[in-house]
Amino acid sequence: MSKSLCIFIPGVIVLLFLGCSKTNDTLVLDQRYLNIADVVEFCTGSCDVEAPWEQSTVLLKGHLRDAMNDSVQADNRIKNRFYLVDIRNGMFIEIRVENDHDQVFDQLESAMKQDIIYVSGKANAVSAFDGSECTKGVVVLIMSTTDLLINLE
Amino acid sequence: MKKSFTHILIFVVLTVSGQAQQSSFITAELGLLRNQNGFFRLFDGIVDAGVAYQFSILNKLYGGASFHAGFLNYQNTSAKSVLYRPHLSLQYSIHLSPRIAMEPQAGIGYAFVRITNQEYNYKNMQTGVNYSGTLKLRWKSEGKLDYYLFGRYDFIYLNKDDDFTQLEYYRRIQIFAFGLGLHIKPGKYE
Repeated sequence: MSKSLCIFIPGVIVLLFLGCSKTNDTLVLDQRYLNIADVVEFCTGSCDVEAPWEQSTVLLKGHLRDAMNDSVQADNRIKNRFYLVDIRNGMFIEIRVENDHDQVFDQLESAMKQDIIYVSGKANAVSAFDGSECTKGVVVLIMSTTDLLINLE
Repeated sequence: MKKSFTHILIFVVLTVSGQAQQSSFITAELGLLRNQNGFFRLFDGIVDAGVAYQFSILNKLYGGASFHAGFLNYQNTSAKSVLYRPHLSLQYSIHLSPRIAMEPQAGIGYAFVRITNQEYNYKNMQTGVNYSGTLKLRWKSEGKLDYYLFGRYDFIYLNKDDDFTQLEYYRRIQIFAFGLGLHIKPGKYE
């Protein structure tokens, strides 16, 4: 019995190690349009260190969150921001509109729910403090209506 | 790869099913599924269901094939995922007492991860190699049917697909399942 456990337990430990071991992912942010989930996961980190992605140009694609909800879209327009969601796993990212507000939101209003929105912007770090730990996340700033494309493909 | 794995699986099942009548068993199980971090971290695991056929290779060592399906759901959305996992497995029976046996099992297979979001007419299938480790605790009976508790860990390593993800982190899927199983003994089995 102890012999077989000696084989089984290390096997499970190896499996857990494979699954839990840290990955040192690298992601080129400005070469092709990236999925929201990739950008959100990659652009995180500790508040103590400046990450290489901060202030970088980022290309991303996703669907407009709450596209059919008029009150949410009106609120987005007032706050000069909107959210893109990765429909595969629900992760989302905030896009802040710095210029051309009306043109950008008019363009978004014409988008259908199933349209893919392509964004080219600047990755800007935002901090979140949960009481014990400060972590960095990302919002993307777009400067003009040319940074936004709908259904490129 | 998918095709050849399916052929191997069918071959193994067909070859052994005839000759292993005297020392084979079938299991069917249902459990709760929990996923861990990674691509599906916003999802809830719902249920994991599976069947297996195993036959004696050596004294108390059993080999066979199994098929499991795990269902993941992202609450309040139409995003869903199903993880289909055909496996080849090895199991060893450790008889702790006349009534209880502990059965560690190791498996290797190929996983098919189907992701859908009906709201957006989105469908995608990702595949990858799948390793699993299971521990069963079986209540032995004189009859044809035993019951067991099980706990299982699955690690799926998805094939590289830059359109799906460019992150290694998302290619690693870990799921845990625990639940109840039925152990059906058509022939002689210890």
